Amino acid sequence: MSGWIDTFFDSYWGPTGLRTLGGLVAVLLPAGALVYIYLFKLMSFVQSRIGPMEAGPQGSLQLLAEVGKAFQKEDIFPRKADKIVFALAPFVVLMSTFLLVLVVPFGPDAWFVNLDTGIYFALAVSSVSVIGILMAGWASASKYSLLGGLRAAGQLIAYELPLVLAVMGVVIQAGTLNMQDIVLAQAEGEIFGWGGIGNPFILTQFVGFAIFLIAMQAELTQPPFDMPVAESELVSGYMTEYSGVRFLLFFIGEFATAGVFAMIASVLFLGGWWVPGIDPDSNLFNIVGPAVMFGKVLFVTLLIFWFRFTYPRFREDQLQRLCWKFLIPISLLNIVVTGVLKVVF
Amino acid sequence: MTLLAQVASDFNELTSSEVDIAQNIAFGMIAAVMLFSAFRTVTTANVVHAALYLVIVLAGVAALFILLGSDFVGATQVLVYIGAIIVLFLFGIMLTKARLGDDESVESERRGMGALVGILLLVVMGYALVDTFENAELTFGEPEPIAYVPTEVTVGDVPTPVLEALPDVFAGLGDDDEVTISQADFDSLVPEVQRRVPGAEVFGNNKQIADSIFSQYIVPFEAVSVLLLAALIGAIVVARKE
Repeated sequence: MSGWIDTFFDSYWGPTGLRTLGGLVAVLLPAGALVYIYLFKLMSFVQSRIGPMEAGPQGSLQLLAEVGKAFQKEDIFPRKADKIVFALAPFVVLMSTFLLVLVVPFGPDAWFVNLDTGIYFALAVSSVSVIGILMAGWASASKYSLLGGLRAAGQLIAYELPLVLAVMGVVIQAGTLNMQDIVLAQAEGEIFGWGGIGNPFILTQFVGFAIFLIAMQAELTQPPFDMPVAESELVSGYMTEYSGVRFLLFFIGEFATAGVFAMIASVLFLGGWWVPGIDPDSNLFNIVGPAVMFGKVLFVTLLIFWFRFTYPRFREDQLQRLCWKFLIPISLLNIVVTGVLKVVF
Repeated sequence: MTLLAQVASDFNELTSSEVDIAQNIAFGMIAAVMLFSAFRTVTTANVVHAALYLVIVLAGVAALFILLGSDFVGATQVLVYIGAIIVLFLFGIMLTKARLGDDESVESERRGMGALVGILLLVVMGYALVDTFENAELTFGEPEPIAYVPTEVTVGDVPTPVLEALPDVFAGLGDDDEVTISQADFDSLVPEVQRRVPGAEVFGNNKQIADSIFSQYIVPFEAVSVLLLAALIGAIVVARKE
């Protein structure tokens, strides 16, 4: 009866196709959900308006309408633009997002790859998107694009440092770089001998969590860190010359990266796919795990988007000062304290 | 004739079942892309294009490391070279001469010299590599060594897969009872379960790298750190003209 299932899973293309499909769902589904729930609805609520209401019940199909609109538009290339680099840039940004989701575990056996270097690999590939942004900024042959690209690169390089250093505390405490083992370390952890809720690292690493969220906000170039696309100064930064599908790709990239970074944050600090009260080795988590992750992603992104809708934009020098003079020293201190406590306990 | 026979036997070895054919095909594809991009890096007259071709070459190196099962080195390659050095290159190029199109000043008569140096480097490094690793064999697919010291554990703390794999050891024991999993019992487990046994330590790739950096190579490691710090301070001093 189960003959064809075994054949399917033993073949090369079966599991590979399944993983590709899973990767698309894991990247695009949170992105769509974030755009509708937060960008359309929560933002409207914050600004005392009702947001899109016409397409579908409560405007829930607005997203499809927007995608359809983008597909109908002409794909414009500026006359002086470097055609090939201009065309490839959005794909490089999106590629970095898809590489990021590879190492995120969604259940005891529900993962794409279980790399020993998990989180380190994720931090490494997240830096690839800078190349795409610089490509877009340069190839557009427009001064706004170039300025936006340079601002974005300076910001992303600066904030990568606190992002990496904030993760260090978790890695020291868990004693591993493997994402799956970080989840298990939290599930099997104990708070002074009491293992009722495990030991989600947000409790011991709340400094790291706060720094990770701030650095993540800056990496996503979202307000209050949106100088690279500051519409009052640079029109739309490195995206100025893009239209149609390629603009849509940048747009998807921004929100998909927000979702994937939130997944990584929930794995590192909130216990990932695990919820207290159920054995982490239970097969149940292969089915419930993705839903649990989705819930935690919604929580983390709620914080990010709340900040986004609440605070006005920083100035460029304030941005760099916040990073180099506050976030990096605090995260270094956090590493030292975590290291000392790890040895003591 | 002997050469042909040699090639044929090499080819047979490469396509035999002992060698992963998929891995060889992947290597060939990555290597071809890398060679083409490396060639374009030095022949294109557009400086930004040269930097972007270099990205492909460096990404290819990272892919080869991952293909060899060394994902730590591969990730480091991406983080340091693509994420930092190339971004700095592009940053510098765009701040100074972000012209679109070809840059005629890149063409110069010193190309012959560059080619000469390149060929010399290839010969020297190629000879050194072949001389050193001629008879070396890589081991693939071997499980990571897992160290285990038998310790007394509470049954309640033992993960479920271990409980299920060793029903005899835990038969008739409650959650609060203490038990010691013997070395023989440990050895009977598969690696996926072994790594979950309390007291087991996976001695994987990362641990081996960390171990050698912070014991055998601690002096060079610290020396490089101090050198980088000196370079950093030097750069600031040179840049700040008061």
